[in-house]
Amino acid sequence: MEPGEKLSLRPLELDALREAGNMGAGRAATALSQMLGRPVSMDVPSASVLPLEQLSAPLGGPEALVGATYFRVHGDAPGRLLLMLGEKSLATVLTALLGRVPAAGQPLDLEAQSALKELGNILCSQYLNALADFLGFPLLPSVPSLAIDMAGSVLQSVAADAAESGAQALVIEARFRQSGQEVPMFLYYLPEPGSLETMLAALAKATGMDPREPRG
Amino acid sequence: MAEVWRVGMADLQVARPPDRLAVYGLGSCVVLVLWDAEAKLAGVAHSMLPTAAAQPGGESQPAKFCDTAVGALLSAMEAAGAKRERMVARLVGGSNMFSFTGRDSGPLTLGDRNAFASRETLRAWGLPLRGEDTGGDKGRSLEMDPSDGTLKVWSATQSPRWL
Repeated sequence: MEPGEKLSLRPLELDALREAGNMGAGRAATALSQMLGRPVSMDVPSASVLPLEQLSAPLGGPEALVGATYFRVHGDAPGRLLLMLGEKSLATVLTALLGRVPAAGQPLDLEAQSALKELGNILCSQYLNALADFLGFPLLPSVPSLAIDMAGSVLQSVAADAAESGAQALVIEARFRQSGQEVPMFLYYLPEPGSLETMLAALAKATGMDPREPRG
Repeated sequence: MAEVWRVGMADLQVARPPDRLAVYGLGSCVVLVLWDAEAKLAGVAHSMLPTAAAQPGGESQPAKFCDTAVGALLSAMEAAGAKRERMVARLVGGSNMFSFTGRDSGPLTLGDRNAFASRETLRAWGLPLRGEDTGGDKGRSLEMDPSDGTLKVWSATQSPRWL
């Protein structure tokens, strides 16, 4: 495929990608349950291909404060992975991990920052491992980069970063929820355009789905 | 009734009073603001990447790129009645919220390159740059009022400032 060309996916392919995302999110949720010591549920509401400029903030609008860990993904299907936690989720997670509530309206201290990076690291590694098992090739995360800022600013920076390598992205969204409490987290996986075809070929093999017809 | 028009990524808009233009949650993108005080017209372009020529098909989305956004916004302003010789420019955004090391980092961040491309292109068009709030590692939001040219910029942890 030429860079910049629009790749449209068949419903079956989107389902397969969503399923792959489900496996990743499932393993990440298990890791999160263990870290927090209580059950965490997850679902993957969507896998969609959309122009990057249409990425929009899910957590209370573009100015809502989020904690975001961002990774480059290396391997056969390079891409990007973003984990976003809303302000309430940040408090819940940090309380569980550090045993104290971060002071509202204050910048996070170094210990809290490193706890969040570690959380991102574990969840994203689990997610990528499951995806890699399913696809049959390794996907390796970079060292995480952390930002505590407006949701829109985070998504916009990620969209622009991804846009440099291609005109559109596959977004596999995953949401995590804790029983009793509404503490959503969002995980986005954005493979580079060439990676999408590599993943689809692997998925076709794994699921027995018809391979894509060669494009002429 | 006065409206606040939100300008999304890769988009541009022109407004006249009492309407205003806004971008909420800006990161590495650069927003170019043009204003003609006499015509009371303001234009905002929200660009993601430095140069259109670096992307196949880039010319079809002029507002998406810092270099082509200047000419595109200028034309949109002129079409609405603004005069080029009266226009002044301001730049907001281009922050670097995520930093990577080693193979994942470049010599210049995307935010820096975006702001640089905008500045260079403004110079080439001969448009005066009258204010700038770019760089750093924090996201920004902004609102532009065409009636008096007030450009309000704020961050999650900082109180508003006026450019």
